[in-house]
Amino acid sequence: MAHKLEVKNFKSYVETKEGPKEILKGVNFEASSDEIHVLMGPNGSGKSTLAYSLMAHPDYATSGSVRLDGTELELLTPDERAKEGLFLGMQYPVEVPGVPLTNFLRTSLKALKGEAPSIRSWTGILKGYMERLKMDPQFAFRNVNEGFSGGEKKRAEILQLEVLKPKFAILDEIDSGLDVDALRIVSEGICRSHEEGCGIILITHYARILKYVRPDFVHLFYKGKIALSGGEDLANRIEEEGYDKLIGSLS
Amino acid sequence: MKTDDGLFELEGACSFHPEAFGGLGKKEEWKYAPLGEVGDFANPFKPSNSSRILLNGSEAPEGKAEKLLTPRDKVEAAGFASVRRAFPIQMPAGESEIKVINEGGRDAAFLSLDFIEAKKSDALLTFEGGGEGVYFLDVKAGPRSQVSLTVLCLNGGKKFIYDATRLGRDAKVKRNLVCLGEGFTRYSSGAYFTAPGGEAEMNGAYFACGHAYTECRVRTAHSVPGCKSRVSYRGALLGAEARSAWVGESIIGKGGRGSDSYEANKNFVLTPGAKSFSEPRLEIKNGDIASAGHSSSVGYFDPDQLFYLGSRGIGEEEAKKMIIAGFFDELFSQMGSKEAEKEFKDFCRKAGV
Repeated sequence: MAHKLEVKNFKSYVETKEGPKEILKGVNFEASSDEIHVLMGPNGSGKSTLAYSLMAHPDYATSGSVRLDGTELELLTPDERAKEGLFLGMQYPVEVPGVPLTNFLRTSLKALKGEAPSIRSWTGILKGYMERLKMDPQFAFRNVNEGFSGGEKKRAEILQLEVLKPKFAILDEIDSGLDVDALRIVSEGICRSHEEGCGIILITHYARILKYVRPDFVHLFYKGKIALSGGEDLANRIEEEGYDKLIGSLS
Repeated sequence: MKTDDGLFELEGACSFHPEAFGGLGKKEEWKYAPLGEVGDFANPFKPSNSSRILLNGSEAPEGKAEKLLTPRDKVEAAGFASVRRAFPIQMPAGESEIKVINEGGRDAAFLSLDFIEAKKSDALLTFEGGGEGVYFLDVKAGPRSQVSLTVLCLNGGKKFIYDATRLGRDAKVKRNLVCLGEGFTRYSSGAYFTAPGGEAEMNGAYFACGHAYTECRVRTAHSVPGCKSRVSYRGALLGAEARSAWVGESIIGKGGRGSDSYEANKNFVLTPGAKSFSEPRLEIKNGDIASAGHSSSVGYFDPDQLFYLGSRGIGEEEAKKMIIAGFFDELFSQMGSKEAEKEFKDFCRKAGV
């Protein structure tokens, strides 16, 4: 059965010297886990704020409603939202010194699913996932994201997506900084997760990833809200016309 | 008393007479310590002789020993003037264990550990018990010896420990220190190269809980050519009243051509209000060195790390434990001492972190 994510009148604020500043100005959308949604928009339009706010990053105060399969997430902490099935793939994944990737992922699995694979079987399981993403198995024993290149960090994010199997994944510019081979490998990982039932909300600046991750819906994000929604053709229009022209025609 | 001071190009006053030093309060080296609690250690005292010194389970015999260095502060001079018992110990090759157990009383004792030339030794020394005191530990690492000496300082009463390692030609020494507790500890240690080719690795982990004050001072003295030192200390503080200080001093003298030196200290403040001071110092007196550097930090939990782990389902409490464990795990893998790691982790568990 498909899962459902409903975002209603979702607003987000950051604290500034002048007081709270509204970044998201009432976002509304619904997504089913058998769909791929793509959010595109100019720099500073609030796409990353939306991604982080949906996951309850402490920098943002929020209002409105975020429901996953009918469960209200708005008052939940990041780990509680993860347990409900939400996942955030980050543009700049954080380094965690001294914590090997393998330990981190096994702890995460235990937290999310209530139990972790036995240590004996775990190494082989993880190796299998890493091979699909063409990751060196030795990365499992390196500290989380520490010393990883930009591309390695993105593969590690998709590795986590594939291992943790959330209901919905918000992927914030997961394609930035990837060469053509890495882009294809990362895209294949996203598609595998989707085929296994994970809903995808992909934030991107470029249509090139959409050659591999074919969207059902494309949303144009502008000034803290969805300004226009359409199908794959909207991404093509953005690519051809640019944001300024498209947004100009809207107004 | 004959000492090795002349070799090491150390500056500042030194004397076996406590009266040669001024009051503690006016001295730079006492600026972090809570002198109200320990100021009376500035005077010689009658030692309780209550410390038991055990070598591999048997009482170590008393004897005569020469101190490597002249005291360089008032408590050191007063403490050494109070010493009535010295324990010169020829350290065997292979593994060995020394315990210093003081269950009560204020004691002063001098241990002189002599590691044999060209032998490989791995020793564990533990300070235990609720007694207080001033202890002296001189370590001689013979030429081409390979010495690993781990000290566990399990804090009961107030303790001052003065620990100096003298390295012979091509000696390779690893010194690990774990300092745990809720009381007062001031641990001064140093690596002193007496001939070329020596390598000293000085690692330390400290955890100050509750009302603890933990001060670690580490000196490396490069006054002969071609020696290498690495200092890596990490500390954590739990409780609003917890205090720590770390002072790292790397001295590369005129004779220390080709020296390679690095010192690093990182501190993790787990509770608002706890205070950690970190002060690296580097003094280079010649222009022909291989490398010298230092780094130092005092930090809190990074909200972005907590968020990242949270976004993977790991709750805040568990995430904090992971981050702290990761912070120290790097150090323990450098130390390579299972006893040090176990003692530290047991302490963390009891402290709830």
